[in-house]
Amino acid sequence: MRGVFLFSAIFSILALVTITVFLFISGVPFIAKTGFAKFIFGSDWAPLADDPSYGIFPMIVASLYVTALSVLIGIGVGLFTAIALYKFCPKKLVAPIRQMINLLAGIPSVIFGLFGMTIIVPFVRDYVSPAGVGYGILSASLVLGIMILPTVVSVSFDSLNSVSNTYYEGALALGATKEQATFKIMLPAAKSGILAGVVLAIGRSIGETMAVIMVIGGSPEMPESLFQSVRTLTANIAMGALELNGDALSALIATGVVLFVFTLILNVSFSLLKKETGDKVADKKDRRGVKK
Amino acid sequence: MRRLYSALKYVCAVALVISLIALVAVVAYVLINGVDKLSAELLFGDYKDTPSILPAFIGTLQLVGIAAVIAVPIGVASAIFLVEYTGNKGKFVKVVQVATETLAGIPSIVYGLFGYLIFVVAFGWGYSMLAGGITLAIMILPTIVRSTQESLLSVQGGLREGAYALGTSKVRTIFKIVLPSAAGGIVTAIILAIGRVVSESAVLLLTINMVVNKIPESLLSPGTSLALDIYYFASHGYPDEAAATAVVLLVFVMMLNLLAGFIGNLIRKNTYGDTK
Amino acid sequence: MNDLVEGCRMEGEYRIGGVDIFDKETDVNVLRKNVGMVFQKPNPFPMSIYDNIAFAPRTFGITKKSVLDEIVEGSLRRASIWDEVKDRLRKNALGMSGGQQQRLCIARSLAASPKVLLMDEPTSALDPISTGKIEELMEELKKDLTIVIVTHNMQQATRIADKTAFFLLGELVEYGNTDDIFISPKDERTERYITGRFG
Repeated sequence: MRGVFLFSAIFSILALVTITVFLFISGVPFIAKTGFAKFIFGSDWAPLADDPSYGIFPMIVASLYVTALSVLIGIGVGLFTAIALYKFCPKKLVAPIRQMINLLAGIPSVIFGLFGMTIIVPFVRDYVSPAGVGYGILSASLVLGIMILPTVVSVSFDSLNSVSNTYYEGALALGATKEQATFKIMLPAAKSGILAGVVLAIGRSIGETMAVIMVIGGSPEMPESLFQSVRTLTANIAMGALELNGDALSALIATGVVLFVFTLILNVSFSLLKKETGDKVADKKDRRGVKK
Repeated sequence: MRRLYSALKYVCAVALVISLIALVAVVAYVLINGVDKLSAELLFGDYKDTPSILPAFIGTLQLVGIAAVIAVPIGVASAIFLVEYTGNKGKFVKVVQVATETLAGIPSIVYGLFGYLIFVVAFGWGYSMLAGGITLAIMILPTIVRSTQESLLSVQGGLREGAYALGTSKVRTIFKIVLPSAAGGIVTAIILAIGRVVSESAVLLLTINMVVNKIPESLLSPGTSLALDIYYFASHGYPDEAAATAVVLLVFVMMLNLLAGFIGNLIRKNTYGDTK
Repeated sequence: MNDLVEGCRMEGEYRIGGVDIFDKETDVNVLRKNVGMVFQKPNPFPMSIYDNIAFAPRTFGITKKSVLDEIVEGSLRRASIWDEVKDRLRKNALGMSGGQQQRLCIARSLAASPKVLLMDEPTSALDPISTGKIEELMEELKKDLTIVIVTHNMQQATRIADKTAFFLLGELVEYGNTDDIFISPKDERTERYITGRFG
C-alpha cells in the first residue's frame, strides 16, 4: 500500500518534469534557430508570410501592460475592499459578503470574456476611447481586474485576519484611532501575506487566455495606446493554435516557453513570500501524532 | 493625519461597493441577458445544422469523468503519503510541495500546449476528449493534493493513536479512521475541482479542438464543452446562443460551488454528530 | 508507539507475560491487542457507539453480527456504561459527555480483550463525579486484568492502586506496595513529594 501512496506522491513531480521537458524540447530549438534576440525582441510577427518572421516583443509588451493595469485595478479595489470587510463593515454583513465573493471567484473566465465583449468593449468604444475603438488594453485590463478581485479580497482579508489582534488593541490603548491602528499597524503587519496575494493575482492575469482573447482585438501590433487592438502572449497561442502548423506552430510553443518562464519566476517569488508568513502556522499544524 | 486616515475609511467603503457592484453586475448581466434566450432547441435540439449545446453537455460530462477518475485517486493517495507516512515534513514533502505549487501556477494555455504536444501529437490520439480530460486532471491535481493534505492534518492526532492502541494496522487506520474523519473536507475539495474542470476552456481549445456539431463517438474523438461553446458562439456570430449558454454554465458552476460546501458539511455532521 | 513520542528514553528489558516486546519476532499489532490503552483525553472515533466498540473485533476479522453484538454488550457492561447507552448504540459517540466518552474508550479497549490496560491520566480531563465512576470501574476491572495507570493525583493512587511506583524526572525513585510507599517511604524524595513539600 505504501508503494501506491508513494507513487501517487511522485506523480506530481513527474508531471511537472514532463511538462517542462516537453515544452523546452519543442520550443527551445525553435528559439535558437530564429535567434534569441530576434524572437524575444523582434517586433514583427508574420508567420504566414512568404518570408516569415517571428518576433513576439509586441506580445510581451502587451502582456505586461495588461497585467500591470489589471493588477493595479484589482489590487486597488480589492485591498481596500478587504480592509473594509476586516474593520469597517458591520460584523453581520462580513460573513455573507465573503461567502458571496468566494462564490463569485468560481465564475468561469469565458463568462468574464463574454461580459467584457458585450458590455465593457461597447462601453469603452462609445464613451471612453477617443478613437472609437473598444477592443484593447483598457478593456482587457478592466475585465481581468474584475476577474482577480475575489482572489485579492480573499487573500488580503485572510492575511489581515491572521495578524494577532493584540497589536490592534495595543495601538488603541496608546490612543490611536481605529483607522490609524488599522492602516499603520495591521496593514504593515499583514504586508507579506498581501504581497503574496499580489503575486498570485499577477500570475492569474498574465496567464489568463479566454477572457483576454474575447476583448483584446488580436492584432500583433506594438501597443501604443490603451485603445488599440493588440495581442498578449496567451492570446497569441490560442489564436494561432487552430490554424498554424510547421514552423509557425513551433513559434507558438516557443511563446508558451516564454510564458512558462514568466510564471516560474512568479512562482518562486510567491513561495519566497509565503515562506516568510506561512512557516509558523504550518509548523503548528504539523505536530500531530503519526505512526512511523 | 487623523483626518487622512478617516478619509481612507471612506475610500474603503467605496471600494467595497465597487467590488460588489462589479461582481454582481457580471452575474446579473449574464442571467438577465440570457434567460429569455434559452430554448428547447438550443438545449436539446438538433445539433447538426442549428446551434445546440447537447454535444457540449455530453462533452463536459465526459471531461469531468475522465479528470475525476484520474485526479481524485492520485491526489488523495498522494496527500495520504505526505501526511500519514512522512508526517508532512522532510525533504521529500518539500519537493512535492514545490512541484504542486509550481503546477498550480502554470497558466491553463500552457497546460493546453503540453496536452497538445504529448497526447494529441506524441501519443497520436489526435484532438480528443481523452487528451483534454487527462490534461485537465493534471491541472486540478495540485488543488486536490493540497486540500486533502489540509483535511488530513486537521484530523485529531488522538484518533490515530486510539486505533493503533487497539492493534489496528496503519493501512486500516487510514481507511477506516482517518479518511472517514477527513471525508467532509476532501469531498468539498473534489467538487470544487470539478467546478474548475467545467469552467475551463483554454486547455480544451488545444486538446479537444472545438467541434460543436457532433457528439463525440468515443473518448478519442474531438468535441466541445459548455465553456468552449460560449467562446464559439460569441466569436462566430451567435450572440444570443452565447448569452443563453452562459446562463447554463453559470448556473451549473454556481450550483457545484454551493453544493461543495453543503455536501461537505453534511458529511461532517454525519461523522461528527451535531456536536461540531 | 513509543516512536511517536519525542525525547522518549528506554532502558532495561520490557517483558509482558515473559515475551520481550521489542523483540523483532513480536508482532506489534498483536502486542497492541494484548495491551489496551486509554488516553488522557477521551478519543472516541467519529462513528456510532456500536461501531466504536466493534472496531477492534472487526479489525481481527470478526464479522458475524451475533458475535459482535455480544462483544459490544459485554464490553459496555464491563465498562459499566451499558445502561446509559443501550438505547442509543447507533448514535454518534461524539454526542456523549466527556466522562461517558472516556468509559466508552475503556469499553473499546476491553473489546480487544487485552491482558494489560495502560491508562495515561484517564481522569485528568474529567469532573469529580465522572472521575469517581471511572475509579469504581477500575476497582472492578483489576480483578481480571492488570491495570497500569499514570496519575498525578496521589489520592487517586492511594484509592485504587495495589502497587505504586514513583518517577521523578524520568528516574524510577521507588516502587512497592501502595501502603508502604505512602505510609513509610524509603526515599527522602518520595517523602517530600507525598507530603507536598516538593516544588
